[in-house]
Amino acid sequence: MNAITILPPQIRSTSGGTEVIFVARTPDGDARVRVAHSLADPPAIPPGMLGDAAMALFLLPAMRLAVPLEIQSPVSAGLLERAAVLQEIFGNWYPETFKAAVTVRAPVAAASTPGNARGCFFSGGVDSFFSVLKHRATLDRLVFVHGFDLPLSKTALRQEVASRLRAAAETLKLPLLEVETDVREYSDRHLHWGSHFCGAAMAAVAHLLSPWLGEVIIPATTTYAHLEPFGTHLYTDERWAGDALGIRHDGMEARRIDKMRAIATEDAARCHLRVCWENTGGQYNCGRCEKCLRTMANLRALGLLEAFPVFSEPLDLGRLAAMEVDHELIIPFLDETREAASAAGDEALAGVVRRCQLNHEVRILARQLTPLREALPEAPEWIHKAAPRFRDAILEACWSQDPGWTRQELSRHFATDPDAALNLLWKHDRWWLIRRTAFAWLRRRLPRRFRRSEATPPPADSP
Amino acid sequence: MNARIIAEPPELSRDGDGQLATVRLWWRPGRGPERDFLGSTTFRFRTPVPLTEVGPEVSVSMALTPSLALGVPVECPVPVSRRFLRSWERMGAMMGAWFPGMKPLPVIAKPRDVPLEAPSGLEPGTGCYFSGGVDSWFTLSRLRSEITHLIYMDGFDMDLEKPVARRLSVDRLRTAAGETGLPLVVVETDARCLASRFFEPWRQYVGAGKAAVGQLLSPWLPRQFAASSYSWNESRKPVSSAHFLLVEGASTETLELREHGMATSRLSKVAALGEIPAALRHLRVCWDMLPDRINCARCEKCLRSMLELEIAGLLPSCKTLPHVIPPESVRDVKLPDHRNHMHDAWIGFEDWFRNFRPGSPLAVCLTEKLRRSEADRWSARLWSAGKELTRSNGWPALARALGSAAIETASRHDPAWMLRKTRRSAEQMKEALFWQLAGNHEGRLIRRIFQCWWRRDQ
Repeated sequence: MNAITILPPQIRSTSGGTEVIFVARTPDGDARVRVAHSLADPPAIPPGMLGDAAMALFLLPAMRLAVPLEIQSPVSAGLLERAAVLQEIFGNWYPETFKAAVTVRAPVAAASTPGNARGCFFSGGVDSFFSVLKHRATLDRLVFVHGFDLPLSKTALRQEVASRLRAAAETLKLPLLEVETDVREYSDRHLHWGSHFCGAAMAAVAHLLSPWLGEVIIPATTTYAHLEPFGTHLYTDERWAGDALGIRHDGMEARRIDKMRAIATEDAARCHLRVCWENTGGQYNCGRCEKCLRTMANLRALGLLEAFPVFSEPLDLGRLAAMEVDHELIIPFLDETREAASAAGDEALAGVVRRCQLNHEVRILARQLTPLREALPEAPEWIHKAAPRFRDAILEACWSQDPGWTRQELSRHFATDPDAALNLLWKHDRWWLIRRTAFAWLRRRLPRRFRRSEATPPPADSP
Repeated sequence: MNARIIAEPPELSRDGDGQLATVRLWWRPGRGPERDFLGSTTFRFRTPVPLTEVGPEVSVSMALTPSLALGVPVECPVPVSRRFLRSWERMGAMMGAWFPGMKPLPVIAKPRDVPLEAPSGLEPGTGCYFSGGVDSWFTLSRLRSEITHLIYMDGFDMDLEKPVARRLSVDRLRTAAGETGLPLVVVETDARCLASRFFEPWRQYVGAGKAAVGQLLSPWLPRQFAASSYSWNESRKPVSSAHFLLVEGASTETLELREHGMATSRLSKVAALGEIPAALRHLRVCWDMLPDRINCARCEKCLRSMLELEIAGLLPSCKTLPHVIPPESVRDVKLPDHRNHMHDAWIGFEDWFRNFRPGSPLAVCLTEKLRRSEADRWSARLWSAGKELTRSNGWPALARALGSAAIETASRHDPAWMLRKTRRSAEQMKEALFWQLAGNHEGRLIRRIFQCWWRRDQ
């Protein structure tokens, strides 16, 4: 079979909830994706609900496998039209992963209009809290998904996270809807969660909630100044919307550090902020991973670290300095932290963040130096021609850092050929050469008793 | 803050056989009625049936960028499109994030949900912005069956102080449009004068200008397409206010404005010109507005287009650009900054010529050009990183590696530099050299010195 075919999903009522199971016939065999939530008795099921969710779940895997997508449930006309644009975008961003657009075949759903209720995805993170607090007055429900950044197998951690998020939702006076899905068991085989699929997965869950919600907010990860490709993105999230569901990518007007400042006033955020994805040792926020470290750094820069007792370990500056930057989106976060730390007079933190950034810069430069080293001896030629002031600056820096080593290195390369040495001195300082030679010659012919001190050559290892 | 920029709805008046829409902006410093004239801009255009109504969105669009620059909200006394007001929240935040110093503020106006009415007898159409460039021709070729009119904004991307060149440019575009069978709607505006009073460069204003023209023509052309200059990937680096989100944000209940062409690379678009003979006869890529020719063939844009056409095998067929690319022009042209996506195009050219025309003068020239550009970039990057690096713990090891490389090359190519740079311990260095030369045999050295002296006198 050279296509992905999505059979009509099975909808089951479970005790106190609804379960939807998608079955897909794929070139790799049958795939099964389950989404369950605790809402029941939907007021009305939009005609395109199941087809729209199927589109969001399987369009990107179909592109990855470069096979047509056939959905047997009706899909909203708007989403069918936008599927082509979504394919353009992902194909342009990741041409190596999504090599070609795929044909999508699905019946068109009857038109429908979205309801009035509004929901917001809520993971307990900074972006979530910011969007929830911003739209608090118009939100009807918060949505937390088990199985997205929290594996279903970690039951104890899930229980703790769910209970804390319920407490946060209670403080915020908004009901929390918990959804459970095993979608990553399928998607992780083909796609990268963060770079490709997280936005589409959220859209799929949102479509299945469209009988109860007319619009869902996806909290933004970045700002307008950073539009690098990512799985959840301004260009793509809103395009996953259907006739019965609007999706809003929210919060790009504020930097992460501004969001932290904004949420610091809310008890729910201070007591239940959750940023950790690695959960080392089953901790709510491990305090050791990259996300925890930079969040704690942000909070310290704002003078708010003590107000957020949600981290298992105190901020370790050494660990922060050694932190590896594995995605370019992290760079602006570090810039913001450094600026805030400097503004607050926390030079220790600013210095550590700078070191972390420099280490990242050195790694990038080292990667660029590798092909240059392979092209040696051309690389030194290029260095010589390209940047005389760079050479000067490097040498000046070497002198100030380690004069002994610099002198040794210079002498090692300095006119090793006697003829070149003579030409050099003759050209640039011949009177010194003549005086020095004459002095040495005369001195040797003086009686010993008249010599003030023996002329000795400098030690071999230093000129 | 009580200060406001007041954007009154445009005034429509007759202008010969066309119409003139005048946008006036006022500055109100406080709560009172007093206000000062801030500036105005005019749009001259012609429609088959004169418009009776122009939306206030035109004035608001023109007022938005001064509002961002001055940090003062815009107020409109009449209702403004709800869709546009909602878009503005996002557009303002985007402009504020992209252009430092710009402060997004809300538009103070009542929302309006009712679309504008077209005068009776005016058949609605679909417009396509057309400048005669690669993107325009590509979009036109792909959407030809939907487009009914071409739109050209005269006074936008060209210098207002060259009326003769501008008129020639419009004439050439009319000829080109004539070959496509589509009428050309020319909207003449001095919006650039208003913009330049507040800031440079023009790129911060061009989006607002396009939005205003689109909204102006919306009762007649409710669907409009703008040819995109960037792909989806390139649009992540905001280069100007003509970003597709800002352009499409100008849509209202009356106007649906869409960008086209973001999925297609520039080279693919150029290759597609081979299917459009009219494009190769009338292609205009240059912004220099020379009176005697369409394209100067010297600027970076012209050279880049010529290289693209050469790669596509279409340069000999193009009637508006020379058929031979002088390597010296390529050598002398200033490349875009490496952060600009157009710099990547030059890297692509070098790669192509090195692989498919190895050893040709252009290939050699491009390789050298890119090598120098890369050297400058690497140098600048290291320079800024180097300053910071010297304060880090990893510095000594890196300094030694770099210092060794620098000293090794200098020892081969620039020993005089070595001598200059050892100034700090010049005496020791020279002493080392002396011992290297003389050892304990000064007599031998004296003979060699005489030989040097003798050679000097020869």
